Amino acid sequence: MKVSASQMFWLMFIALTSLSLWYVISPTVKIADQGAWMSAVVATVLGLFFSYVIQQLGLLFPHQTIFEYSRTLLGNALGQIVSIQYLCMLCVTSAIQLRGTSDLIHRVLFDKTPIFVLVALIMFLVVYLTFRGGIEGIGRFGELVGPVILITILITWFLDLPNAKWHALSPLVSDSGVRGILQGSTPFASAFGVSLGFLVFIPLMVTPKKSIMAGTLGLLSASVLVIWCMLMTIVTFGYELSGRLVDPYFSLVRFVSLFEFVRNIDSVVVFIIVFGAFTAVSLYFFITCYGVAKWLNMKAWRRTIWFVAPLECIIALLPSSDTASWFWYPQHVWLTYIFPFDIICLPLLLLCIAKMKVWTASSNR
Amino acid sequence: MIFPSICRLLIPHRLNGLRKVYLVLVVSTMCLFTTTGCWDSNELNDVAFIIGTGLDKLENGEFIASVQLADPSTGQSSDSGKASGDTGGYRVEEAQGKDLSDALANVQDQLPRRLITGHRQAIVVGEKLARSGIRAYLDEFVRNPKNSLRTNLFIIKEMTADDFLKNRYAFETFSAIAAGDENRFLSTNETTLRDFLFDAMSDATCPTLPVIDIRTGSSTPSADQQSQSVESPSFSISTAIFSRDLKLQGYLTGEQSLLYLWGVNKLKRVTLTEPILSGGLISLKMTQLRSNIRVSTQGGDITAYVTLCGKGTVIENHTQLSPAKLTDVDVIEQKLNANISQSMRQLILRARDQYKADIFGFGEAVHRSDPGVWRNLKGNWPTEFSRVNVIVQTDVSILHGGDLKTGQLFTG
Repeated sequence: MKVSASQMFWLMFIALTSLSLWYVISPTVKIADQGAWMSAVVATVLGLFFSYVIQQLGLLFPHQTIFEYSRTLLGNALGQIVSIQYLCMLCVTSAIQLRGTSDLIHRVLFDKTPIFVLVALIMFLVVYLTFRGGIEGIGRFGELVGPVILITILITWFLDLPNAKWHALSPLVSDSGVRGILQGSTPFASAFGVSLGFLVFIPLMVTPKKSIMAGTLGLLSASVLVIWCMLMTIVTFGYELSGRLVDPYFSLVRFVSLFEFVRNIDSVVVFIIVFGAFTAVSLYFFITCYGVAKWLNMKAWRRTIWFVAPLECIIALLPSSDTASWFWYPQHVWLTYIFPFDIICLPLLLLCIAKMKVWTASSNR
Repeated sequence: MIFPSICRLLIPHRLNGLRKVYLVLVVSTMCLFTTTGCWDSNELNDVAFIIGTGLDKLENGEFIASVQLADPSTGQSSDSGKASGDTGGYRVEEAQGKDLSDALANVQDQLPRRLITGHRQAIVVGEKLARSGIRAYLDEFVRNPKNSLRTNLFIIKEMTADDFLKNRYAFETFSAIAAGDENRFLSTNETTLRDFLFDAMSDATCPTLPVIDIRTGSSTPSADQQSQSVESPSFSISTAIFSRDLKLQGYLTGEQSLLYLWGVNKLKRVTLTEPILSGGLISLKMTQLRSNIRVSTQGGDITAYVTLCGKGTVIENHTQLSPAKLTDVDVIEQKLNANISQSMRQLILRARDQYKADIFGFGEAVHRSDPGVWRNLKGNWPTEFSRVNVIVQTDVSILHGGDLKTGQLFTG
């Protein structure tokens, strides 16, 4: 069960795009107005740096996951705490993502289906994919779906070009100011949390160095895609409306009309992008299950699926409306707690400790 | 396929050989019965397609929504049912309501078929409602996931939207489709709801909407044509001006409306007829219409420079000037440019002084080119706007002189 470089590329690409297309565009535009795309550029630089820190940390222990080496670095008690909080965070995040995907499908396609049916069906597929294929299965699925997602998004750009009002992008900086642009970069920078996957994946890679490069490239290409999607929504709807729509990119897809013939392409696009969301959910689910197994020192990691899956379903069904999965969790939990603590500080701290240990060890000698 | 794979997941490993095959077969057959075919189908005769929605305010202030529905059952029998709201091919239902959704739900209550909004061509708003403000009614169009931002929005001049939907107009069975088609012929931009929101949500621009102006038979006075035109009169489309709080302020005339659309880069084509020399007229078919708006804020004065460009083909000539002579072409172009500049200037001043409406987006032009200055101007833009100087430049040139090289056909 190993993941190849190209699979890593597509996994990172899909995980970042499918998250950001729904959760990032509107909050960024709301803060940074027409400068939102510059915020996204800043966020890409920041995000790639956080990702680099996480990768460097992982590379110091190429045969271990964070749930093992956190004990080496911080001592048993602190290491356990770090592991447990990472596992809780991953578990809740993937559950909320599962719920968010179900909410999206419910809102757009199946508004009469009870939400638990959607949650259960997606969970069933996720469990199937993870159980049968593990990370390799998810990777192969990503290789299959990634190009389709990329092509679909590219096509929607071209179809939307006639609707563009490019003057909506100017003035470039003034309205929100440099401060607004920097503030606006937080939602997208936090989406780079997908690179936490490197804390678990590195032992599973065939060629770690190459795969990490590929993964970073995947993140970069996903950012280019997201930045361009952000531009397109601003020039199609203006920044005021884009900042108010729940997910402006989807509204843009529904807005497309070419010669009054190519219309209502939203159901196709949703179908394809749900594949992406499904891949992202599977990815987080796998990290959680595999992490729990490593933390408990279990050899047969698949056994953890049978209690993680029901747990995630229950968490996913807890919120009464999509307010929790679409607004409350991304803004008030992910952005305010998980982003500064789990994505920036903790990996940086662990890396510093590890480097210091290496340094003291070599100076003692 | 996926079914065998699912089965393999479900079956414990100790089952093998023939028993496994049997189990796969049984599960696949079960899937065949439960997952294929329709069990919540929507037959065509269970649904009613909304072609147009009308919004009105009654004399007593109550809100009423009308819905124009396709009714295929009466499609061919246009002679039989001419009672109000029940003409061939369509029917109109209306209901009162506390808000838009409530009114539409009340319409649904009157009908045996489920209303489908996906094929709606236009939303029409009666003048009375438009004058009292349409801000409260736009939320549904954007929020409801069943709606599209690509909806055409029209104002009905001096009429209720209900009456407009109930009538049949030239060529088309559905007045809502006629409105959309006519607007598309005129303007490059068929997405009026998005454009309306674009302007309404900007810092300063006053939004506009196309307005349907019905000519009730007065233009065709001859007796034999009278009956024809009453049955299916025609209408023209001009422009309605809204204030910043989205209340209807007034209308532009047909000619002004075309100039306005040219000024904001939304006009596709236009035929100009201008007096050139001593009242002699020249008509041109204009293409490649463009406009550029620049606002300068130097020295405390705000000056708007509006430049109109276009290329024309002479299609009718009642002057002695020949499009084959360079000197004559110069004269025609000069006079043409002077005329257009003057009418454009009059239009802008009228919008400024009569309606106090920044429909050309001068404020946004300052915002874009001079954001620092705009921050100070933004607060009292309405008063600043009233003292904007306007300079119109026109760069209209003649591309072709037509098939005649002389002036008028019989002279020259």
